[in-house]
Amino acid sequence: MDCKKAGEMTAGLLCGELSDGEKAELQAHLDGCVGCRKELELLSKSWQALDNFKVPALSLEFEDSLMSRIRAGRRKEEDAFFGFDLFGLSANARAALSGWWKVPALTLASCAVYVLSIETGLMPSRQYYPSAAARVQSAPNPIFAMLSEGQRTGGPGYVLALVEGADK
Amino acid sequence: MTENLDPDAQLMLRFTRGDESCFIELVKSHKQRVFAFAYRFLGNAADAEDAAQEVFIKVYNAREKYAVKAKFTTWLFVITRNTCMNYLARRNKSSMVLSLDSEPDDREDSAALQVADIKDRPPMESILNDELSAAVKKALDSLPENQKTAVLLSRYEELSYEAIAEIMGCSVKAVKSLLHRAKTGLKGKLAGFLKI
Repeated sequence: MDCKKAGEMTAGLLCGELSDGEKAELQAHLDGCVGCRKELELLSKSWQALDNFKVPALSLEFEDSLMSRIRAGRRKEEDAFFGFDLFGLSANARAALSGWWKVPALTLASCAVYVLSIETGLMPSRQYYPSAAARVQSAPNPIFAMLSEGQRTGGPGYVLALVEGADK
Repeated sequence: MTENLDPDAQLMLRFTRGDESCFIELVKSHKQRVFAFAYRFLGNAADAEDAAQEVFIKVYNAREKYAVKAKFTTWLFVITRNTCMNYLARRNKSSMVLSLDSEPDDREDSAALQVADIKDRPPMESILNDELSAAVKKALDSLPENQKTAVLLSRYEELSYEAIAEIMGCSVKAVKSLLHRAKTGLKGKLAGFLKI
């Protein structure tokens, strides 16, 4: 066996791939070749030297810090609404405002349902509340009148007056 | 079916069903390994800790789409490796725009050594260990990323060739080849520090 072949077998030896026969063959070459023996020893020792790369201890706050980052990420997700972000606010301010958008969002959604229900004919039309609609249309302050009619006739009356008043 | 899974994968599945204590348990079990890999990969404790946290944040955020396809540690090291590579890329990018006025660390170290009082110096053995440790760090840093990853997973995490291949997305044969080249490279870099 020449030194080149021994070098290839050394790679196999380090990967644990040599059969017993091949190991014996390599050993026979190493016994008579100082250069290859030294190469193998260097390879082995440099691999062992990696033990010297010590890792410092992880900081004690690792988990607390991690959970804070996770909570902050979750808050950011909650606060983000239609692409708007409460960017730049302190963590406390964000926490205080967390979910703030749910109230107007719910209001908007309710309005949309009301308007849709009127448009699709699900809500009683002007014929059920003719006097309320007329009063709103002729009132000097339509907004106030709408609210007032809404109190008397309930939700549908208020919305009816609002929508039909706006039509005129 | 879950009875055959490794315990960590079972914990992760329980976490996906809403049990947050399982996530904490996973963090406790694996934080040191993830940090150690990141530290050896990035060479800096602060960066390594930051990267390790990023890894667990990714695990947390993946809870809804997690599916058991491999051992939990294999999946975790895929995330760890990718996070470290991204971290390194970001760091290299930002270091390019840094001022060129700053002196290299080596010069600061040698200046500090010059002013140190002889009686304060550590014993010779400690100095040699520190030198070897620095040399090992430097030698590992000089390896190409894939060789370095293979060495870290094989030498320090003691993972099998199959597991390393799965993490690195290559064949077992490729892993063996990477390790052989890495060992040859390390031998060349460390020969001066080793007594033969």
